[in-house]
Amino acid sequence: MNWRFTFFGPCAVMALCLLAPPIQAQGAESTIKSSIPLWYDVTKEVTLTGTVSSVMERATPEMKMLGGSHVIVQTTSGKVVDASLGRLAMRGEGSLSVTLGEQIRLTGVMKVINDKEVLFTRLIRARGHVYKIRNEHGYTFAPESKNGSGNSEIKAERQ
Amino acid sequence: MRRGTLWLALAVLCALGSAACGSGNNKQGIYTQNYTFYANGVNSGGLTYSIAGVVTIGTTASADGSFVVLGGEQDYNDGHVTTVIDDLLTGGKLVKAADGSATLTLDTTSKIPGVMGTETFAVFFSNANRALITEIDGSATSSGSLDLQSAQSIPSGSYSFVASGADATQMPIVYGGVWTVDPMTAAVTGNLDVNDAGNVVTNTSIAAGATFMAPDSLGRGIVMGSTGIGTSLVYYVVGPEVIRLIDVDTTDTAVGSAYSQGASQSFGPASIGTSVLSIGSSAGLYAAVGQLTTISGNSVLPTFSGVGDENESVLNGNAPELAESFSGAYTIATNGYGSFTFTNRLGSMSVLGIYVVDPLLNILDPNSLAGAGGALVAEMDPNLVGIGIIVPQTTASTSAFSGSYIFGAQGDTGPGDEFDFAGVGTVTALSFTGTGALSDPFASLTAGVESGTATFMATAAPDSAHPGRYTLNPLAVGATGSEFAPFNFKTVTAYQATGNLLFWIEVDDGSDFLGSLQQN
Repeated sequence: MNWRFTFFGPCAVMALCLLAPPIQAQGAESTIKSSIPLWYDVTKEVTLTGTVSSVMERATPEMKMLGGSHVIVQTTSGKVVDASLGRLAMRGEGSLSVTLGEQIRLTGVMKVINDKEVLFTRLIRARGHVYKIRNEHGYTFAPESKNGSGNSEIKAERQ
Repeated sequence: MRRGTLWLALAVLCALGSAACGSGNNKQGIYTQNYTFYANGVNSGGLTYSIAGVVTIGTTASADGSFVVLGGEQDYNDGHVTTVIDDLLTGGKLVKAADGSATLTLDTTSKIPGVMGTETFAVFFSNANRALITEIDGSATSSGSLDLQSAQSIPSGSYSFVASGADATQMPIVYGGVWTVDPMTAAVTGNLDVNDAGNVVTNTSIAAGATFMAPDSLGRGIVMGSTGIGTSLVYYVVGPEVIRLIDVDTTDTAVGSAYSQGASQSFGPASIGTSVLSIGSSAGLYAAVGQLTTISGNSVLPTFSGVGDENESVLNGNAPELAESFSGAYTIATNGYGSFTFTNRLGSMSVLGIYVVDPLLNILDPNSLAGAGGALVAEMDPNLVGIGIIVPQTTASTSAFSGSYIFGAQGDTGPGDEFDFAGVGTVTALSFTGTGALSDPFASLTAGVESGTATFMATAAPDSAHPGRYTLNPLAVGATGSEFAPFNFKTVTAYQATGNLLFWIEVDDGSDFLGSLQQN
């Protein structure tokens, strides 16, 4: 009995995937969604366009902000928006990269936290790419990892 | 039992022979004990990871007073970058202190997990068979348990199970359900609930073909086919009624437990009575604890109601709930599979999967003969993703909240910003003092520390409106030396299941933890 890394070959991975039962049946999901108030409700999403004025890879408790990464954006109407990106959007291979002064478009749900508006960001469009940050329930994705798992949409979608 | 005499008693028992110590055996001429362990948390890559294994420890102290690790094996998986399957343990040691605390180092063959392949856990024994553990080597932070292994036989019969971890995109995922392992073929049949980052599918039949394979000599086995908990599942036997589970897929990770439902399945709504509920997850960024009563009978729709504290502020900025009333309706089928549906929600908690266990089992201490059963639970709504337990509440007496306890908790101040702590302490006249380990390698609470000498102090104030509920504001955390600046968990609540078991939760805005205080 020996330890081993589990870098399975593509065929083995495919075979294992075929054995896996479906875990995201849309019917059950929609049944529950219809009757339960949601903290992240895609029907309440807004889309904003603005210029990046600040980038925080990790908010600290002293900042009194939601944890994780943030991008502060000044919209075309002059409004300053705190866009919350969760924990992994700016970490690892294939992660989101935006720079000060860059124009980006954000889609998410706006919430008021401690009397401040925060955009729970689901999508960012920047430099011709669409970065998918959250799923439709508000949970954040990880960037694509070296073994191929993760958020392939970060690289895949282009405007 | 006073802690000063705990190790003496253990040594005497072990000296008397293996029968007194459960799974004692002889390896290389040395009497040994096997302990099954598991934990989950966040590693230095910011990834949710799972670990489970069994460690063989000599029962005779070495010249330096430590107990040598003579073998074992483990599985480590973050489902994203590192998956190390069946990693043999080549060495290490357990160094005990007189108060029930200990440090366990494990040397792995792979030299991958921990620091250059050596993992270090702070260990806190409530009795000779049971301990809380937290990794303190700086490579990761996590919480879990270590239990005497009292059997190595293949599982058989009916079980309830839950597991939690992260999916292929490192989003939180939980599983729950009931299954039956055929005593002749070890084939698995049953029902599975999955909540994958808010995508919920309940009551799926486990696909044909899932079969437990016989475990090795250390009680580690694999499940052929898919139970639906990931794809590749490994189990470690704790005892005749309890196994730990770990998903060893390279694309996702989870760890959990399966508990026997006992000899006969005749469950129903009455299987859940006055209880304490504890649920949450570090990956899911929330925590909840509460107490509830049920009304069930042939002529009424089973209902539950209670009061709880809930904190999802780290996840979504919602304000923490303190002493919040909740209620709803529930079902329990004869096979122990059921659900709670909240009409008056606790935070965003809306639906729980319920999986009843053997009413004689002690969920938190599988080797204890003083069990009262309860149920495993898993969040099954789009809002929250976590697992937990429901255990009977047998006393809310403040006088019962007294004596020596081990304690621990896992918490977050942000996504991936996990901290863990554990220790030993005493409660005298509702004044709590303890010492232990604070694992904060990623600077969630401090500048970044792995302390084995943290101190914990609080005064428990009974909530007269809700007997069984206490506030411990603040829980002050300090350093024996100057390892870190002292700080407070400002708002902490505990709910008492028995005098021996309480669950506590931090309900500060922007910081949560969930854990327990346990007595022999």
